[in-house]
Amino acid sequence: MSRARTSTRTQPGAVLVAVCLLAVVSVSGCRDAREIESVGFVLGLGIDETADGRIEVWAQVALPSAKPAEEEKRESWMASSVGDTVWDALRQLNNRSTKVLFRAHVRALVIGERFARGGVARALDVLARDAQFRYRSWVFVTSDPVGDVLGVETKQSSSAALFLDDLMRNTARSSTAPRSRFLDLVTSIEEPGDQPLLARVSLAGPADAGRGAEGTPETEPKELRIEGSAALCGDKMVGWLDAEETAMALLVCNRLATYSFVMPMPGNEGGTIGFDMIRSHADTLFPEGIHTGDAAGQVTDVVIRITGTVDIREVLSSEQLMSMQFLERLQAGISQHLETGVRRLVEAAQNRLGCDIISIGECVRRRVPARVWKEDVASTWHDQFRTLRIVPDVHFEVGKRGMTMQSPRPVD
Amino acid sequence: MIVFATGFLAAARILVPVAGTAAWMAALIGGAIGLGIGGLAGMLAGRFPGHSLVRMAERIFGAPLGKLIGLTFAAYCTVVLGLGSRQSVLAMWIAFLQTTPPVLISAVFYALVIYAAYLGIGAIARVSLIFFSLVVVSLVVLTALAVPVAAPGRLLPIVGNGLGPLIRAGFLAASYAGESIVVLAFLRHLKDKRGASRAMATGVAVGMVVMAVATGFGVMMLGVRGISRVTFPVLETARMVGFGQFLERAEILFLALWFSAALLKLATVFYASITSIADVLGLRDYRPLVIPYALLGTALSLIPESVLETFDYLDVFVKYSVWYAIALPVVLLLGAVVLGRRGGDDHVQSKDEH
Amino acid sequence: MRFLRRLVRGDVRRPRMILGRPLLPLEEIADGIGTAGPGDGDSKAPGDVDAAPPDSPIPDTLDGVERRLRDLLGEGSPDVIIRRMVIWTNPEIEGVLLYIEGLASRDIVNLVALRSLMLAERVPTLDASALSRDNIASVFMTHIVPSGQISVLSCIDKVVDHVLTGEAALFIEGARECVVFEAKGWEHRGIEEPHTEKVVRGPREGFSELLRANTALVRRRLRTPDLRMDSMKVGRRSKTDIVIAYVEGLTNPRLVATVSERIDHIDTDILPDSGLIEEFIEDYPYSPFPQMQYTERPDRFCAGLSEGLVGIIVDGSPMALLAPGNLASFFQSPEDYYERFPYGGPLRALRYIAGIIALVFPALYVAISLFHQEMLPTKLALAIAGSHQPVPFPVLVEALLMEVTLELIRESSVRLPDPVGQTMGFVGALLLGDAAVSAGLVSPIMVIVVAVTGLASFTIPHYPTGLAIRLLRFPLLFLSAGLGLFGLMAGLTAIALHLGALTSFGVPYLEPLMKPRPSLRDVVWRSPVFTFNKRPEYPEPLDQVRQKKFIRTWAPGVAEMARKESREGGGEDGEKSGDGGRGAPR
Repeated sequence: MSRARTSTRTQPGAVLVAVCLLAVVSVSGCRDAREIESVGFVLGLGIDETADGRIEVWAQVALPSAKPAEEEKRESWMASSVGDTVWDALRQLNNRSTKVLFRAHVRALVIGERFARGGVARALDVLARDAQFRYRSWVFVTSDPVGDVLGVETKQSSSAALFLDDLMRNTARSSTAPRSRFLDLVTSIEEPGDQPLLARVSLAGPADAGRGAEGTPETEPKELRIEGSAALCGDKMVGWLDAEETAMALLVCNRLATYSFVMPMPGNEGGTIGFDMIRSHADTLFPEGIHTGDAAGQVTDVVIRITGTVDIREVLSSEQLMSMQFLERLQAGISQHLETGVRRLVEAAQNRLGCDIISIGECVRRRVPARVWKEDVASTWHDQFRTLRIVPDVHFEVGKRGMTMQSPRPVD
Repeated sequence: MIVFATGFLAAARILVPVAGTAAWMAALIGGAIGLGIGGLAGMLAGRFPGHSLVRMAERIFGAPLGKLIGLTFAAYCTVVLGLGSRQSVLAMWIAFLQTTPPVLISAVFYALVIYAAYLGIGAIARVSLIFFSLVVVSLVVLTALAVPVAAPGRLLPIVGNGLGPLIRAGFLAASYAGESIVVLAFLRHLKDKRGASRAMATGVAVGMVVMAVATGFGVMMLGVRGISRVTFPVLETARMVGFGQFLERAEILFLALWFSAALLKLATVFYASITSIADVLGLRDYRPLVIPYALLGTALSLIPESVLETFDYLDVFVKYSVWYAIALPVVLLLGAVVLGRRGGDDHVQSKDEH
Repeated sequence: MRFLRRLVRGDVRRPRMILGRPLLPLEEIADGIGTAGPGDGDSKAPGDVDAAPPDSPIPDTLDGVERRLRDLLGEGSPDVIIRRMVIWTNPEIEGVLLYIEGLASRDIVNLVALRSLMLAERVPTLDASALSRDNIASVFMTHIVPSGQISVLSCIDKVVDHVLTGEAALFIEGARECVVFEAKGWEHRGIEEPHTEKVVRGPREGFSELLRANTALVRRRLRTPDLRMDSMKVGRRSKTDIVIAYVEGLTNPRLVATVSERIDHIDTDILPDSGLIEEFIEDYPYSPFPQMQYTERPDRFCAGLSEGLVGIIVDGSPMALLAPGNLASFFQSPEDYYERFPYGGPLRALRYIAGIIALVFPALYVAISLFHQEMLPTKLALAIAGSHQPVPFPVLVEALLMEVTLELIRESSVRLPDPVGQTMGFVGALLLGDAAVSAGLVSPIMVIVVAVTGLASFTIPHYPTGLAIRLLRFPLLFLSAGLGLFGLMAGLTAIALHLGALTSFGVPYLEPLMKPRPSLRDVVWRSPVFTFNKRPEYPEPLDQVRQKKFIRTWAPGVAEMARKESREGGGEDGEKSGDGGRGAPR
């Protein structure tokens, strides 16, 4: 207990420091504090380009009500403004709101097609610089008027942005649209070998079962549909991918969650068969290798090897798959079916879009020294991509077949 | 008694441009160098039990030269202090308290550092242990949350920009680990020398592993270009992660925790510095020095006028400080061996203080 | 001393009073001044009380004695009984019996003094004439007065001191000394269940106000002959008995010395409760954190002693103190040990969490809702914003309002009688909360926050620790309203630093939390009882070993481990002095 004696001095220091801190704090006057009821929570943000090249920004601001029961009703306020840049427009928006617009709760960022084609970089900077903005908000591209998309009223959710948020969680699971968060956009826009795919949102009438996004002119209540994706090359949008192409692109990039599809029964029995893809893995191989030396980083042949398992969900055929031979034939058929899809995607990427949306460049980058990639390959990668010979090599197996081995009554 | 590297807040941005995708390995190399430095410091302390740094230097090289070495040490500490505090305050200011005057944040910061230094190393050490474990826990949580977002492919190619830059970045990282030499100033307070060196080694090792993990995950999430671009890479990764719908944007929690950890580290440095100065001046109690020195530190931390300038200073410091951290124990040890000096027992009684 | 005593009674300075009573002989007053002046008798340490001043002999005549007693104890006190009587010796001699009614038991006085002196058969055989002035009292003590605790005293001041502790004194005509015998028998509260430390499972005995009863409770639980109870007196006027309890050969003697030295230094008037002692002797009286444990449970007290702590029992206080204390000990409840360890551990961990909640929850809420709305899930943010819509105050004011109200309810329900208090607490909380919400004064979420905080602060078993936490909540609230989480963290860091620097009798306050291995075993968690081989290190006990390392050797596997161990290291050191572990395992 030698220490007992040394440290018995009293300690007004603690009190002093506490008082100083308090004084300092009260003097400062809480500059950054915002009372929560004075905060306008922006739930959805829309950005588009007007016909005359200016930037229009929409904000969907939640209007919280005191009673939680009333929250079911639509309680949001849509505002839009036009400015020369995104920041300019946002600034003007701020002037028109009684509440401080708070961008940390943006659930959905909807970008108009015109703006996307002109380059999303114009919006990226202001949002990445912003300490408030949420990296995990969803990013959509739409060919419909952005204001209309955000203005859609749905019964399922209190505002379009929250609806999109909820919808995205489900849609992305079925892989007809990519899970495009803002952070994916930010992180994948910098390397030429890794291009972002953004989910496409479109307006559709409730009865409109087709995939067309023509936009029915009637005034009947519209619904939002998330399907397909926008392909960006660099920061500029180069074209649309439909739902199947999107799924294939995700499959190739190893980002597929599950994918459901229906295909005709292989062989001559007729009928169709439905699947759920539950596991898949894609490898990008370079059978000829990657050149070193003179033409460092050059590639000519690419094989995309995809393996995986599908579950049978529906069999509408007289063939009940009870023989091993037919099962093998079925597996070949599935592989064939998916391979066709991938071919279609590669075709689209190389010719229609002219852009490496399937991350082959990223695979190259990983395999070559950093300097070679940076100096020799990166700048011309997309040109090189267009001339690649890309061969899909797909092998799928059938996994579970459900609770019944055969149909209760096979469909003829 | 663990000195930990809290420099990881900005470290990634310094390491990544040099080493590219291999920056995380650079952090590990830095840790190894830091362990070496720590080992030297431990040998030195073993040779001169119960001596503070200044006393050691005086014993080896005589009073004038020894005092000079003591002063360089204090200067080193001061620079660490100034840069470190500026950085922490900036992070707070830029990311969260945008309209609060930074002077206010500095004031709170320094009030706490002064308070900590006034209470002495015992209190700092005890509290550091708590916060250190909290920081480690926070980083583990962060890492766990980062796994779904991270793309391990971004870490390839494995050697990054090549071996040369990797080693160069290793030395940069070592300058963070090198800060562990401040322990020299109060090794004499430790009862158990072996335990102390082990604790120090653990501290450096854990600190640098943490830095490596943070850098690695930063690259996995943001990519090399992203990391080089953003202001505070680790903070940015913290912004990206989320768990379900309720645990998002928790970066302020992490930042506040790291802020406290940085504060404790700087309080340690502060304490090391003023006790050395007190030794040089021959004062028995360091407490009268606390306030003047704090003013000096504040002034120093206000020298860089802008964010860019701060990072500029930081780059320079990181580039050269490691050599000081290596040189100091080496010179002292060499001097001791060549001149054949050993520590007597004349200061042993001071060991019992803590 | 005498003089000062009179000073306080006010009968020296005020002539009025002097007139109202027989005047003292002048030289006695001079005497009094003389002793009080140079000797500075009263500012001496209270331990010196027993060293009788040589100049207060017993007056020669009984009249003188009587006058002197009335002078010392005052004229009008009805409870001071001075009874003249005749002792039936041969020849008869007169005596004066002095006792204080209420302090001394009437039965004992009747039995011991009156009956034995006036009625007993042997008394008349005593030849009083053969006795001299010097030995008459001793003969009475050894031959006549039938009492176990009995002594003769020659100093009248000392006699009065003894009488004031409940003994009775017999002055004998012509004797130079006086017989003082034990007659304590005052009314006191019985042993009841402790009110502040209730447990579901465990002993229900609690300390009471009676020192002897308390020491007996301790003795009964700790029967080692090494148990020491050093007695001291503190309080110039109250002369309160204090017992410093420790286990010889286990408790660090330096700790004992420190404690008794510090108590020695106390020079105060009265000491109504052990709480004052605590404040007098702790290391950092300005700290909001308590540095000593207090308990009204003998089981807990004994467990503390068996760990090498020093216990302090104060007469008149049911709250015994244990030193040194540390943060971890304030989060422990005896029940942690009485329940099986699978429940004890999580419960204790829960208490730590509750402590953190009690400290930071309102501040965290204020910080987040003012500064960091991005941290909230969107739906929660909207809900909070919505519920805060009708509230006219800023969130800080709202929080303060609720916190202060909660403290009011708590304070008022403590003061009110038990059944009313409980009702009051519920009604107050429910009504006020509900009314405040419907009046739009506070938001329902704030009510929840404050309620949870209140609940959490009540789970801390050590009441003052809860108070400290409640107190610190307010500066934290301000800090987080000013600087958000950054301010909150700054405040927490300051508190942590303060805790880090705090010591209790030289032992760092955070000590057991700092040691990783023991802290897992019995600080944040509680491991099974049979693994507590060592006592905690922080009081630096002389004997570290609490129990044998392998106790459950009958269980499969354990015996083998024990054998292996003994083959390797010869088994550290099995059981030393078979005590210490006998109390409750702590």
